Amino acid sequence: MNPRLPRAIDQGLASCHVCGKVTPVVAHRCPRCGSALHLRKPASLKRTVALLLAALALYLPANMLPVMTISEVGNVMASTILQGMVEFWRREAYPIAIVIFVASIMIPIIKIVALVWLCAAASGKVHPSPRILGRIYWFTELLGRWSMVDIFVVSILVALVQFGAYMNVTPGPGALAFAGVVVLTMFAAMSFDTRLLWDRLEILNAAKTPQPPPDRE
Amino acid sequence: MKLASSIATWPKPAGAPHPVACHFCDTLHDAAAVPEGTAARCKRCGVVLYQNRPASLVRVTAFSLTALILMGIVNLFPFLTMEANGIKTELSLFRASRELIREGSSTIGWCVAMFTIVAPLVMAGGMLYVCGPLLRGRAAPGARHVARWLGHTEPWNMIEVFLLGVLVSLMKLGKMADLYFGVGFWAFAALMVCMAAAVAGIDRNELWDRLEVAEE
Amino acid sequence: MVWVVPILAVLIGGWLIYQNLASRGPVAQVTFETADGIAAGKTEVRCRSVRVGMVKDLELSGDLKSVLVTIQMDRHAAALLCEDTRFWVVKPRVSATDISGLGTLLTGAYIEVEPGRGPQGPTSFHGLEEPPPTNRDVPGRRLVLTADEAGSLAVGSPIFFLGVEVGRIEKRELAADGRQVLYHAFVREEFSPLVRENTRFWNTSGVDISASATGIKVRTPSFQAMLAGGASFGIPDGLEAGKQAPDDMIFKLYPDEDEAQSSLFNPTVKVLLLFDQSVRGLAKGATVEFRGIPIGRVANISFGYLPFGKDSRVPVLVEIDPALLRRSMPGQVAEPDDEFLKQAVAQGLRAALKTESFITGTLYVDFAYYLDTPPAALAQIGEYAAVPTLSGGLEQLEMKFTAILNKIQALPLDEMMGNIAKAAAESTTTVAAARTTLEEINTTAAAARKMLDDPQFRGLPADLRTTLANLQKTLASVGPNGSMQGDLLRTLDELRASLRSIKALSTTIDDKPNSLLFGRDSSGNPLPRAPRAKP
Repeated sequence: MNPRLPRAIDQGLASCHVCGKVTPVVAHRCPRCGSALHLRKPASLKRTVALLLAALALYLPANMLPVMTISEVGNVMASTILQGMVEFWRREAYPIAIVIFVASIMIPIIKIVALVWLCAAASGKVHPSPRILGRIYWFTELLGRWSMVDIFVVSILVALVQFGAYMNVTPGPGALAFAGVVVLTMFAAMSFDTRLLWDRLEILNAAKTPQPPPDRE
Repeated sequence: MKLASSIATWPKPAGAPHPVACHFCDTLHDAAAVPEGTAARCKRCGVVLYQNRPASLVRVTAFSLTALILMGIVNLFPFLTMEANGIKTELSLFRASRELIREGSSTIGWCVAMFTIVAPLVMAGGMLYVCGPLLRGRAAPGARHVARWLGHTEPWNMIEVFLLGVLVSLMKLGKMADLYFGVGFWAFAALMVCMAAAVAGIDRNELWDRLEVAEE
Repeated sequence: MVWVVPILAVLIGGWLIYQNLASRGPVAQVTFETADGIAAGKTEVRCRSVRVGMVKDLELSGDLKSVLVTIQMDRHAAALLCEDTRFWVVKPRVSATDISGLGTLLTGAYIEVEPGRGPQGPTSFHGLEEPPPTNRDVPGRRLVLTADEAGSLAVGSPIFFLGVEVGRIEKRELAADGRQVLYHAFVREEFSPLVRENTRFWNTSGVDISASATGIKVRTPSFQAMLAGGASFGIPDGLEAGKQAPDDMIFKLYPDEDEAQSSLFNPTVKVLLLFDQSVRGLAKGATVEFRGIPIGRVANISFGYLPFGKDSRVPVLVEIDPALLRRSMPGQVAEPDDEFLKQAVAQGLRAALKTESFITGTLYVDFAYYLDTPPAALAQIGEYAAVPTLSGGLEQLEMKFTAILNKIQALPLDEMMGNIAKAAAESTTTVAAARTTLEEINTTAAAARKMLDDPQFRGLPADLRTTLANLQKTLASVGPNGSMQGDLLRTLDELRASLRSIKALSTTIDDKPNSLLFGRDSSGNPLPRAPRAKP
């Protein structure tokens, strides 16, 4: 890090998050695309934490309430995500069970945990390398949307299995909660400004080394 | 120094070189042209700043056009047909969300519709609308707005997740019923590929540079 | 180069659309009364279980009285739309007249189309509300079954032969006279030789439970027959198969197999009987017998058969099998039934009501030849021939009783009463005399008592005792140790001796008849003597 690289924030320049054009932040609006200009995403940590808490609140009902109800000739069976996964496991469809487990149970938790950790890092509570955090961030953003698999499975089954009294699938409240979890975590990730991590690193470095006179070339 | 002929770059707005800030670590760089097929990376964190994709506009336009056509096919023809005990039920993208809405879970139904029908449509249509005229160096009216919305819509396009959902459903239903893939299914798979190719086809900076230039 | 991709997509898409459109056939519009079971985009149109089209649209007709169903036929099925093509909805029908299409509960209703034979062309049709009967062109035997009651036999019910389904009931209607139910039955071509003229049809719906001394017997037909009813047919045991039955032959539908087997008659002739007595106890379906063999059944009892007001006799309509009656008069088999009946009546055939059971009071009709009845002829009342009747059974008994009573009445009862009175009077005197005698006895007894009480009488026993002792002595002398007996014995011995000598004399006389005169051994000839037994 020794040639101290210039940061846009130090020069009061904001990079438009939509089109990438770098403009002085005082302009308030990007001249190219018209979106609002911010140095950093506004209230990033606050928003992220709030959204994460909401997602966590929904996570429990999402897994406890049934996502779909299968009624077979009057035999009504409500199943949660967990039960669906266990069903697959019992039927020896191990790959599918693993997929469901990973996608619906692990990923949201991983995402939430990762984001919490990122928030903690950004606010100085923990100090891992930003590079690693960056990778984590990128990873969770990539995986986030795949948790929606279960919701789509429910919708497909509901649409297909419409055999009247013989066999019928109806969606359950757990599905909505689960979709909520996924959407909220996605928003949370979008609200998080990764630059904050580097900002934090800067602050730490500044605290460690005596400050040289600012060199603005 | 690379040969000028191997650097095919897109038209840049006046005042080059323009500064580019890493969206990850906020390091300021001067955007320099990179050879085709290569990417410019941040000096500090190594993340990709921008890429130079060959014939990107053409690719985007072509694939988004294909995606639109494929979307038409997907919705016209049956997606998946399930037959059990002589009863046949058909699945299409519309039905998946419509049934959810009908069963009383309208929020979820609209969500599914958003993620599988609306978002891809907006993406493909938007990309075509923006990139098509850009081939001639012209910007369609309101292209910038459209391009902005494209950026917002992009994370909500989940058709590949839907496809995985279809596969999981097949595993679930396969034992109790006969399942037939319709034309719609294969068109959907192709649609997924085309969408991915279209979205990956153009670099964000390039697109906006072109837009900026085109207006001018 | 990359433009190949969209071009390819357009081509493929275009081809698919073209293929879809090209495989579409003509559009037909069918009018139904109700769209029950039909859904646009879902309900298929099939011909013999092969899909030939799909319902595209449903809408109410202009006058809101029917439903217009727009059907998109497949290309290869365009030829099905002929002038008399028939459409009907196959959906679960459970009603009194029809149980069919139960499979569609699971698979969903569909529209069945039966192509007609007329010219092609029309696209507007009127749908049937019920599945039509088998087309006239389909080869097979069509028969009519008559039954008194509809029961559980319905349109579409199967017809079985030895448990194999060979046909079905096509139509059910009331007979013209409103008294019977007619079933139009259809037996498939390959099985029609099984139906003979003397075949019997019976109802096999429902569960047959019969309890008897040997136990309870439960007979169940096939599940379909239980649900939808069914009829079976066969030749009754003991009969040989007759000729093949022609189309439209009428058969009677028996309520169950036992009845079909046991009734060896095929009642074809209806005869009216007028009874001059109460028919209480005679039920519809009661047996009509001839010499103990059932030849028919009572079909109906009603005053309706008589022209109004003329008669107070009770009309009873019976159906009989004249073939069984004919057996009584051989040699006239070739005659038609009515001629035969006429002759039979002329020869004394009469019908009478007889009691079947004294306990329940049920009656039955008995045909018999009565040789000493007043002559009568076969009458014609309304549409039926009327056989003259006799009163019988209890009635006859009543008559006999009445006769007896008349006889009793005819008796000279007064005289008898007078004699009885006399006898009574005499007996009275006899009784009086007896009374006096009794009184005398009483007085005698009193006197006797007095006598007994008399002390003189007491001495009597002592005298009696001595008398008894003398008597005993006398008896003793007579008894075995008595002297008299001894004398007797001596006398007997002497008698014996005398007899012996007489016997010897008689022997001598026998040997020598002249010994009486000349004595013995006078001739001087030696007499052979028996050799003495040497000790």
